[in-house]
Amino acid sequence: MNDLPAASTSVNNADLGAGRDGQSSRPTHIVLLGIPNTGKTTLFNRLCGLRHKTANFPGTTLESRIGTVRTGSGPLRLDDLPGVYSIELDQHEASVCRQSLEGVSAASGQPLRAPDAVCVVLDATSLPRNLQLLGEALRRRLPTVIAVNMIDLARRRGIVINTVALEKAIGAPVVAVSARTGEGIDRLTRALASPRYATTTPPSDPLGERNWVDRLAQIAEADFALRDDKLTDRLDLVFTHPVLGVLVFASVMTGVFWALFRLATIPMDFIDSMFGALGARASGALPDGLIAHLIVDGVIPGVGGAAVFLPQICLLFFLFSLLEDTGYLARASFVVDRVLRPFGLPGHAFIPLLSSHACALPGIMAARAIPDRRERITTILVAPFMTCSARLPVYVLLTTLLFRDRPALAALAFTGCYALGALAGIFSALIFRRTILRGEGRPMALELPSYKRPSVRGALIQAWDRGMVFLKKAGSVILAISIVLWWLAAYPIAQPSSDSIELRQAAQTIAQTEPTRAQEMISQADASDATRQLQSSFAGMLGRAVEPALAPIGFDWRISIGVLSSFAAREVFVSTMAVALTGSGDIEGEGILARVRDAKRDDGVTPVFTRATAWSLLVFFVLAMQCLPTLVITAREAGGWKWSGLQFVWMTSVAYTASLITITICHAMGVT
Amino acid sequence: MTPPEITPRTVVPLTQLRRGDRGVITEARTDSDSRALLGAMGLRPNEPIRLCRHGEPCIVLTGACESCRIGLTRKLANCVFVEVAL
Repeated sequence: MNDLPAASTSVNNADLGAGRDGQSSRPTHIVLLGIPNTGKTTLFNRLCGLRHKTANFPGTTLESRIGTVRTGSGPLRLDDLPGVYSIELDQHEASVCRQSLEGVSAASGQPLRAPDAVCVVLDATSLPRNLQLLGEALRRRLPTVIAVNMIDLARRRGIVINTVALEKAIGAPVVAVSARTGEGIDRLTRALASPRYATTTPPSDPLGERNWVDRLAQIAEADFALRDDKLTDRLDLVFTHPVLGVLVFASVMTGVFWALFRLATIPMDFIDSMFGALGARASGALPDGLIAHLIVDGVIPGVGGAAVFLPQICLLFFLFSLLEDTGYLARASFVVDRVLRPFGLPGHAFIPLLSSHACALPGIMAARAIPDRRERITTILVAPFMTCSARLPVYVLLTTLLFRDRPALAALAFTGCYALGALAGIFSALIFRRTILRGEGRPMALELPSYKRPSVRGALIQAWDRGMVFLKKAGSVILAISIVLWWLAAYPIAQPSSDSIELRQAAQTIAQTEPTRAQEMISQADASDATRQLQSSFAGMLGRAVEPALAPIGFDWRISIGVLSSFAAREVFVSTMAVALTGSGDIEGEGILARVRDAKRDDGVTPVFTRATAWSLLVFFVLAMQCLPTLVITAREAGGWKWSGLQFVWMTSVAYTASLITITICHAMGVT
Repeated sequence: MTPPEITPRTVVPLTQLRRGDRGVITEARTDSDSRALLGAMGLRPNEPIRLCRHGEPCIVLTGACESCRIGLTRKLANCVFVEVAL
């Protein structure tokens, strides 16, 4: 039986390379296509597990996951295409799907290898809504497999789908599966190894297509009449309520934050101590010289500086993946949309902005989910205003200097830093959307998926994926910059001062009689040498060169070195200050902190950190673009270095102006 | 033989529906991109819908499926017109 209305049912399968019964030769490359919320990614994870890699679609910033499915007749490549409601839409994701199916590069139109077949994923609980996309895929005349996913959920709701009749009507294999439970996966794997051309080509005119969809839905014999779902209605009312919705959202996000800053601390401390131990071991094992210096002071701290944030990144994406899977995040988007829309940002922006509180790099990468280009670029530009983890050591140092023995005030200042960053971000967004990125935002229309139990396995795979992407993209950049900064701080090599030489000689003399005192003298000599080295290094020269520009906001040349060195990673500021002011990179001890507080400027009287300077520096670090890896990722994600340039100039200008205002107010109020 | 009952009907934007009201979409008076997206999501002419939540967001259950809920900002919901029984 095949009474479907069709534009053509007389396609010669032999012309298309089909074998007997419309079956294609064994495929090696299949693409996975489906509308959002069909469980397509869960199915990809079920089929490929960890046998996949994440890359960009050629010439685009849209992420692609490429996996390997092990079938009885050999491995085959499976590409997870972005979820789209229609491949004919004028959207970036739809364009990528179209060009992937045609085998051309999305950006340049360069020919690539076209897939051998397409696997269309349909949602069993709402089959008719998926059939338009199926029709569009079938019109591409590729060997096809149809996976009817979430069959377990459909069964629980009393929906029965006649896959046999569907397969007969379409001509391509139709397999009922549940990616969550694994039901039907073996059958689907076998079907992927032998896809078939459909025996019908759906009409392309809207009326014909509509009739085709209706007829196919009838053939599926499923009951899709409107039904009441009072529980979902009630949950939606709460989660999107103007007051309750905000309270729930605030509670959920507080939980996520708590997990990020509490649970992630344990593995972060472990990684930190691991790299510390590695540095100590390398320092002891390698013969003293250039290579040892590079590895101990450049490579290991550089890699460690990036790797230490890995637990936060993984945990963040794990929790968001769980939340997304429950169906809550789509509701939360509307709650946030109400808050962000007046500032020209969409509700979709809240995940990138929230992620940026861990690190701006994954936050900027998460902005890919924002459909409108202007809104996406605005989000990318303002994401680094959010207080990232790397700023925290700087906040700790400065609030401790400002509020010694007054932890409540220090905590208040800490919270104020978060608020200032967020406010600067959303007001900057408003300015961008009213000027260079002006234009009507796309009103939000989102599918609100069914509430369901999240897949922990899927969330773990997602966390692993994002962690690897972060390590590859950020780790390499930070490593390279760390090496450059190490070189700037290590060269030209300064000769030890006469004081340092005398100290060492004196230490040698008393080494046998007073070993503790001798050790202290050697430490003093080391500190003196380190400070002298930094002063005469290229970094020191740069610090002195930029000092006139930063003097109006209260920074002397030593703070200027700290500001410059923090471009590698903001937290580097703390260790640089420790070296510049005390000669030791360790800031933990109270003695060191006291020496930082008491350090004097070149006049020998004025403290390096006056209260006014500390306030000004705190405001500067909240607002300034002090992160080269972020600029690299911005250029990549926004589509050019002009956006990185704008981000740098804008944030630095805002930071400088705000610091100038701060120090002026401090002086006016008699705070020195 | 009794003549079929004629129910008076009217066309109103989605924002004028009350919670629980049912109707049939007649058109989306918006730009072509948004119209195409709404259509692909299931909000196209002749599609039955039920309003689940009035306001911001406006949540509708489309007639094409049992579990398909679509949330729309008030601005967009104001552009989607439905035919309802008076």
